[in-house]
This record gives sequence, structure tokens and C-alpha cells, in this order.
Amino acid sequence: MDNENFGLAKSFSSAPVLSISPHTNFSQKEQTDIEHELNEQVGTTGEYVSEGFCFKLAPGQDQIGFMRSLKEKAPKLTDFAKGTTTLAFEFQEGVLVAVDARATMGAFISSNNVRKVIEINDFLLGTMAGGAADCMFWEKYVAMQCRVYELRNGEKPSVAMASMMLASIMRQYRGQGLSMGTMFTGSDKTGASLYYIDNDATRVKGRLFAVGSGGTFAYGVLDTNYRYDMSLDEAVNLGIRAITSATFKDSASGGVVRIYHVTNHGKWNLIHDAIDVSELHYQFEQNKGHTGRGNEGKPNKYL
Amino acid sequence: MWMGSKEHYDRGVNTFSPEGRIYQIEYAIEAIKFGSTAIGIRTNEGVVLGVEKKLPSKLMEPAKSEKLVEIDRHCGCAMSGIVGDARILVDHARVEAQNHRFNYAEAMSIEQITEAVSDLAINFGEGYEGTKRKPMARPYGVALLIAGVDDNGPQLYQTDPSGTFLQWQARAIGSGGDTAMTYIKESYHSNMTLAEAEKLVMQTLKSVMEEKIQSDNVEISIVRTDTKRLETRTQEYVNNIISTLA
Amino acid sequence: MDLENYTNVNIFKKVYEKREVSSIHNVVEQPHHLLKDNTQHAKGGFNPYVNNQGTTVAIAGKDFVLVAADTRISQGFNILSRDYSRTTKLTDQCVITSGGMVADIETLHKLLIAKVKTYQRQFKKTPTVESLAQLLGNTLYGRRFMPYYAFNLLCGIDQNGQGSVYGYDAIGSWDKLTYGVQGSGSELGAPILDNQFVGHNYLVKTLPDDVSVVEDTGKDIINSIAERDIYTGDQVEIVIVDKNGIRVKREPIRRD
Repeated sequence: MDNENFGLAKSFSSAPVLSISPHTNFSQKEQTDIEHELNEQVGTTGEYVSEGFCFKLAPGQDQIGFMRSLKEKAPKLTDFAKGTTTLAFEFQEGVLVAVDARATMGAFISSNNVRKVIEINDFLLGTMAGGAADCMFWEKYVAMQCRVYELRNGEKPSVAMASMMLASIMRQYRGQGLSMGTMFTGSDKTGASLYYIDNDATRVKGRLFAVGSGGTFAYGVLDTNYRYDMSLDEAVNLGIRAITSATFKDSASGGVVRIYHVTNHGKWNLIHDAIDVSELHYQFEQNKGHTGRGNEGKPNKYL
Repeated sequence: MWMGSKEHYDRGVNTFSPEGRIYQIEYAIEAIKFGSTAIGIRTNEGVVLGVEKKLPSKLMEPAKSEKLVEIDRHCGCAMSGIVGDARILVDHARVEAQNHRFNYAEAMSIEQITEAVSDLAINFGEGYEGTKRKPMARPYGVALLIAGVDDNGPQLYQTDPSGTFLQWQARAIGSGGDTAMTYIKESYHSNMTLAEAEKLVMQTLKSVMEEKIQSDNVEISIVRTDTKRLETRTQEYVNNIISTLA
Repeated sequence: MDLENYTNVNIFKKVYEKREVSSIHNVVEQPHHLLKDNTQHAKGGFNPYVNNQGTTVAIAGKDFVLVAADTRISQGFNILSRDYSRTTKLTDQCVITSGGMVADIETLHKLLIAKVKTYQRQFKKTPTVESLAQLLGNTLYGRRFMPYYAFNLLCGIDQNGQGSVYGYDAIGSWDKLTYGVQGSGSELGAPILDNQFVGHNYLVKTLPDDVSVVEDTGKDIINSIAERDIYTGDQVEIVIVDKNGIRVKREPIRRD
């Protein structure tokens, strides 16, 4: 059970004080830890020790090759949610986050009701694209670190800091096969802000992002209609519109639309929990005076 | 002559005296008696923690929440003794509490938080060979009152430098601890309301404090049974209680 | 003249054979990362995984949760066992059921039992289903770099007395469901479940309240999957968790 014992729950012997402080603070770590971190080396004991976690590794030295060949060795093992449309943009009233809800394993729809927005804590949100477990686990971990930071320092960490924590973790595990493309957003003293972070440890602050297989279609709608001085209603409608269009064209996206609004005052709100996109599609077409079946203006060859 | 003389035995923290005592731990417990007074009272409606904040000079700024701190949202901690030592213990408790949330998606029980603190408190001395981090070389010279609400209802625990932890209905520690305990013993009853308990804490503090009780040299926090949330009382609230004191 | 030595084919053959031999030595003597052809090595390299297949279904009810699973263990087209129970009791109110590789399933279930015991001793209470859901997620993620080849459903009665099912992928992403299906027949079982409990996983979240109806449906689903999936069959094991505890029943189905 030793190998499974990460998370340091039990006692002082496995959890030295300050051992899971945010690792940006190097002074609290021992020199060996820092060297370990810089070298990005795998421990000799067959465990990946970092961040206070003990990840069990495959025996032998070719860990990366092992991870790469998992697909052939264990079919279905690595087939988790891949196709996705998630988007987020800044506007005058904060940040709007809109996501679809489809999870696919190859061509099989494993769920049409996945929660792709991870509610990290009451002021941070993260979207989920790529490996669902990687996003869930590390964003929950960042949530814990934020809470410890808050208790130690008496104030909440900034979104910049929280996103940097996640990016640093991604840098530590770079090349190890993690898969994550997340829009990290939240609200602090300076208002709402938006970052894009992925498993290459990219961390970009920006105004408008769309991530996933349907992202390109979402960009089309977003870039056409986006203005910074939108009202919340306009922003919500744009979010719904962009996700609906993406789910229409990208078969790996679909299900329902979820909309979150990150305010400029340190909180986020859930605006729409689940709107069925197939209903939305017909509704939008009917607003244009069409049936939505896509046969408008076409001669019916059977008549 | 040397038999039983504590001078030979009070140097090391890992040596018993022939009478079976470890003097350094006893000295550490003595250190608490120099600390400012801290009081905790448990009622069915919740738990109250109150501390005295000593201001040795008028020029000193009254620091906020130095001796009455949050461990997690359902658990608070009052301390007496060497505050620097307490900071290490409290930090450990916070990390453990958050780890528990991370692993089990639930709040850590107050008893477990106390046990985690006591585990660290007794982990002093030279350490083992190969231990990565050296433990504290001496006992932690601090006692903590850990109070909160979990599945088992409102609870109050006290830890001391020997790693012992005990559960109390009401407990006072620090320089005025003994006097305060006698005082509380007279007034405490198990059906107290939270407001009565708050008043009793303040009344007791008033009677044991050397300085005049004011809103800036005492502090109280409560954890209510129904909300399970730690709340720090404002200065106005404290002032209101002070004005009603006998 | 010995033609053999001059034909290109044979020269190539010899070189090829020689390389085969030396490459085996390479594997033994050299560190793996020095091998140039990494993918080639990977195919024959360390492979701890085999899929023993099998299907399991879980359905949450108003005050119960039902697991229906088959009991077949296969390796390729061989059937290794016809009465393997893929469901394990964790607490009086919670079971875990898995499809995938038997060795990993056993390891994982044993580990979870140990973790539950440790929890009970340390915290002097029984873990709730919500706690176990988080614990299982973290346990699976702890093997992120050498995952358990197990696809799990955690089923139990939550603190409000409602049935709940938690579905997992192999590396610990999880979500609360009202019903779930895992294993080789998951593609076959999911549409039946969607049809029988219409909309339950979608927007409407009403739970069925009649355990006997759900039990029959569960049996039918495993039976139907056994008709079309070679890896599912032999027996259907029904596990019902409610406030009175856990009941297990078995019924024979197709054994071909």
C-alpha cells in the first residue's frame, strides 16, 4: 500500500510540515527537492515523487515509451473524452464560459451530460478538454493549494497565481503523457481574468479562447459577433450560439450547453445548467424562417 | 548526590530521569503558564473560543487574529505559549485538514485534527537517520485549544507539549488558566446557550486579565452547531458584551 | 558455385536474422531508451495488460441501488472462468463493480477494502459513498503513469438515503450518474439503459422506485448483451444495496 499512499493524509511521518506548500516557494524545499524538480528526473525507486505525490511507474526505464504504447497494449484504457467544444471570453462584465457536454470513446458517445466546467472553488473555474482525469485531479489539487494559501495568508490567491500553480505542475510532468487543455478563469481583486493552460505548460492570458475539436467552429461565431462592451445577456446568447454552431458541425461535440459567468466581484454564477443543443438548433433556424431540416430553397427531386 | 538531581537529566529531550520524568517536556508545559489566557467553552449550540491579547506597550499595534486562528472553516484554534511554535502546529493542522478534504471530500473531524497536531507535537528530538527533514529539537512550548463542529457535534480539545490531548466541556489555559478554571467551574452548566457562553468567556477573561478589558485586547470566535462555520466576532460585538459585564 | 551466397535475398535474410538476434541482446543489455526503434521495442516490451472483458450495469433507485453483472472471464477467445464475481462489498452501504483486467480489478478491490478498513480504524466511522467516490478517483489517478486496467462503477446509498452510482474512467475521472454500464458490453448496454430509463441521465433526474422492476430490467440487459457479445455470459449476478444491507442473487444465462 505504500505506493498508493500519496496525498499525505495520515500523519506527520508521511507529511512533513510545509511539504505541500505551493512549489513556487523554493525556499521551503530542500536542495535535493529542487534539483529533482529541475532535472525532471524519475526517481530510482520506480516512483515519480513530486509535489508530495508518489506516482507508481512502470518497471524499467522507458516510462515515456510505456505511456506512448498504452494505446496498443490496453485498448480503451486511454480512450477518454477527447472531442470537445469549450470557450471562454472576457467582456465588460467579467468572463463568460460556455461548454458542450459530450464525451466520446472513438465513435461511441459515452455521455451527453458531462460536466466540463470544473468548479474549483467559489472564485475559480476551469474548463475540461483532453484527459478528463488530468484536468479534474490537478484542478482539485490547485483548489486545495489555494485554500491553504488563503488560510496562511489571510487572503485569497490571485487568479494569476492559481493559474501559475497549474502551469508549473504541467511543466513538472511535461513529456510524461498528461493531456490537458484548460481555460482557467476566476475573479480576484483586479476583477475577472482568463488564462489558457495546456499540458505543454503553455500559459497565456487572453481575451477569447475556444478549445477542442469544435473550437474552430466556435471561433467563427465568436470572432464575428464578439465585442468587449457586450451586456451579460448578449454575452450569454453569444456563448450559446457559438457552442450550438460548434456542436452542429463537429460530431464529437454535443449534448447540452452549460454557461457560467465569472463576475468582476470575486464570484462566479451558473447561468444555464443544461440547454439541449438539438432544440436550440431548430429554434435558431426557425428564427430565420427555416424549418431547421436544411432543405430550404432546394428543389425536391421526388416531386 | 547525583541520583535524582534533575540537573543531569534536564539537558536532553530523550533522557528519562530516574524518577521517570522527562524534564524538558515538563519545562515546556511550564512555558505555557507564561502565555496569555485562552478560554474555550462548549455548549450544545456551538463552541466559543476567547483569547487575551497582551499589549506590552501602548506603542504596539494590536495585531489581528494572532492567537485565535482558523484551521478550517469548521474548526478554530486558540493558543497559549510560544506563538512561533504554535504557528508550525497550526500550519500542519491546516495542511492535514485540507488533505483530508482532498482525499475524502469531507471535513476532517475535530478529534483527527487534534491528533494530527499532537502527532507533530511529540515528534521532537534528534530524528532518525535518513529522515529527510529534521524534526524540532525541543518540545513545542505551546498548548492549543482546538474547537469546532463535526458529525459528532460541537467539540473542544486541548493539546499540550507532551502530545497528550484531552476533550473538555470548558477549558482555560495560559497565565490565568487555573484561576479561570475555578471561575468557569462555578458558572458552567451543560444547557448553556451560546450567548451565555460568550458572556462567560468575557467575564472570565475580565477577572483574570491584568489590564482593563477592551475590545482591542480580547478576541472571540465561535463555531455554531447548525452552520458548522467559524465566525470571528467583530469589535462592536465584543464591545456590546463588555458593556453588559458585571 | 554456391549460388546461395550471392543472392540478394539470402544476404538480406542473414542480415535480418542477425539483427533479430542482436536486438534481443540489446533489449537485455542496453537501457531501453538507447534503442532507436522505440515503437518496435514497445510492442514486444513490458506489457502488463490483458483485457478479461465482462460487463457490469448499475442502476440507482430512490432508496436502493442495483448492480447486474455477468460472471465470465475471458482471455482472447478462451473462457477462463464462468463464475467470477466482479462486484465487491466495501461497506454495508457501498459496493464497487468493475470490468477489465481481472488482476487489476482484484488488486484495486483489495486495496480499497484495505483503505476502507484503515479509514474505519483511523476516523472511527464508516466512510460515506461520497468519500469513497473521491478516494477511488484519487486512487486511480495515483496510478496515472501505469493505470489500473479496470473500469469501475461505485454504487451505494448516500447520506440522504438515495441510491447513487459513480462512473469512472481508468485513470480516475469520475462523475455522478443515475445509471451506468462498464466493460465489454458497454456499447451494447448503454442504448438499452437510455431507452428503459428514458432521460434519466439527461436532464430529468427522477429515480425509479420499484426494485423488482429494476431488477428484471437489469437481468434483461445483461441477458441481451450476452446475446450479442462473446465476452459476456454464463451467469448474471444481481447485487442490491439498500438500507437493510446487501443482497446477492445469481441466475444462469447463455453459456456459449
